[in-house]
Amino acid sequence: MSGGSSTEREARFEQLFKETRSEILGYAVRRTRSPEDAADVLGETFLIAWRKLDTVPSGDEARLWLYGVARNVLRRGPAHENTLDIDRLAFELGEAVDTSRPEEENQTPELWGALERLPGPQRDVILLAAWEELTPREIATITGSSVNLVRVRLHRARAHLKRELANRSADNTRRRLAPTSDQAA
Amino acid sequence: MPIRPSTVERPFELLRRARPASPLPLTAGIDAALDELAQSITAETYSPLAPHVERRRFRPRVKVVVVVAAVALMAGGVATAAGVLPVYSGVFASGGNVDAGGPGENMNMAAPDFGSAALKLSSDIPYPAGYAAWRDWVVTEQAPGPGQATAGDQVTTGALRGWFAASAFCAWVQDWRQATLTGNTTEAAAAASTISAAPNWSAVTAEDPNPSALAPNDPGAEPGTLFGWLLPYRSAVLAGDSATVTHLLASGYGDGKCWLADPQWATALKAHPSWSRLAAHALGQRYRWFLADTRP
Repeated sequence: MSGGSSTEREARFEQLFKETRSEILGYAVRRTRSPEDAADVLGETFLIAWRKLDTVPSGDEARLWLYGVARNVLRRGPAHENTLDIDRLAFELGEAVDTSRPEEENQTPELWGALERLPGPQRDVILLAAWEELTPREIATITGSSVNLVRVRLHRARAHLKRELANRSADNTRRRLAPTSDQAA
Repeated sequence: MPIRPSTVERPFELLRRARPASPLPLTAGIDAALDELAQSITAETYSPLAPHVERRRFRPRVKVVVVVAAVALMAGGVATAAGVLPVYSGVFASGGNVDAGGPGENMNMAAPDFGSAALKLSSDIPYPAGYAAWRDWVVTEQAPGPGQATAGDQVTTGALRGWFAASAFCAWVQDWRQATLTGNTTEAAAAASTISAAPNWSAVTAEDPNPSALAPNDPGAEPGTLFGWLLPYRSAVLAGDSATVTHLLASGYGDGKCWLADPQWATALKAHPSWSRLAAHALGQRYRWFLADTRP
């Protein structure tokens, strides 16, 4: 799409926003630590989409394009002109969404630790697959890599997690079975 | 939620269950705030060149910048302070790493000579006449070298040979199917003989000594051991059942390996990105049309 009247551009953007905002917001919430950061990522992503509307692909490809933009924003941190009104969105997210990590509630600390220790590209693809429920082909489009490389990274990420969790489980078992100092005495 | 041994075996499922903000509640307040945000965005001057003037402090939940820095240091993935990244790392998989990533020596996919080393490594794996491009495809697309891989991307020699084995097997299945449909009985018999032996190829047994099509797998994945998917194709070929072979191909049976291995089909998929959202049966129908057009 190129050119078009102001009204047409706005209509196209609003349609795009309406169709994809929920998914991209969910992605932003899951990959940031605060409602402010999530609102920042969403705002910056769609601001880029607005500025580059002529190059945004049509149809479902637009959704993957937006994921790619949001991913880049997450990688470099949002940078906007401070004219976006994200305060209310951040407030509403803070009211309605629990953006804390399960780790902070003492849930699955082993999983979070293992996840943090994954190499970046592996972590990136396994979170896109597990949390955003994207297929390897969609992830390949978003990350600009081949499907096979995505599969390699997914495979290795699963294996890493499995190995780490198994080690942690074994450690826990050993700790439970180990005699305390009182028992040893 | 403590880690239990049963969940250790299914880390992907555990990760899915730990998905934060799931489902995302789109309250009336969030809806209204999103509408305001959209208005705020479209109030911006429409200019692709509008500059970014402020960078805020930002804390990503999952730090992905570490590898970005590593990639930058690698300057395209080939040069280090110590010199050129070697294709063979000198490190061999052992213990649990063999299950995870295959046997053999770890190869650096970002090494400049990864492609030539990969082709040499696969030279004993047979492809049918006319399918040389499929072997090259493994290197140029499926196992990309420095163009896409980062310094941390490694593949074992065993896994890489496995990729070639999967590619070659799929090529032989295509060759058999086409020979059968065109009445070339000699070629069909030769292809069937090769396909029959494929589960015993060293590249296969090194990774999967006992291929099974029914062994349980990760949630969301097809059942079967790593090369268990060969067996239904093999059975159909040995039964002379081209319809079943076509059905298996069209359904992407084997986690889509015969689609990934096919340069022409992969090109068609790239040319039609919207197909990635099609339902399985609709995509399968396109594959049938593709076969009818290219390999009648």
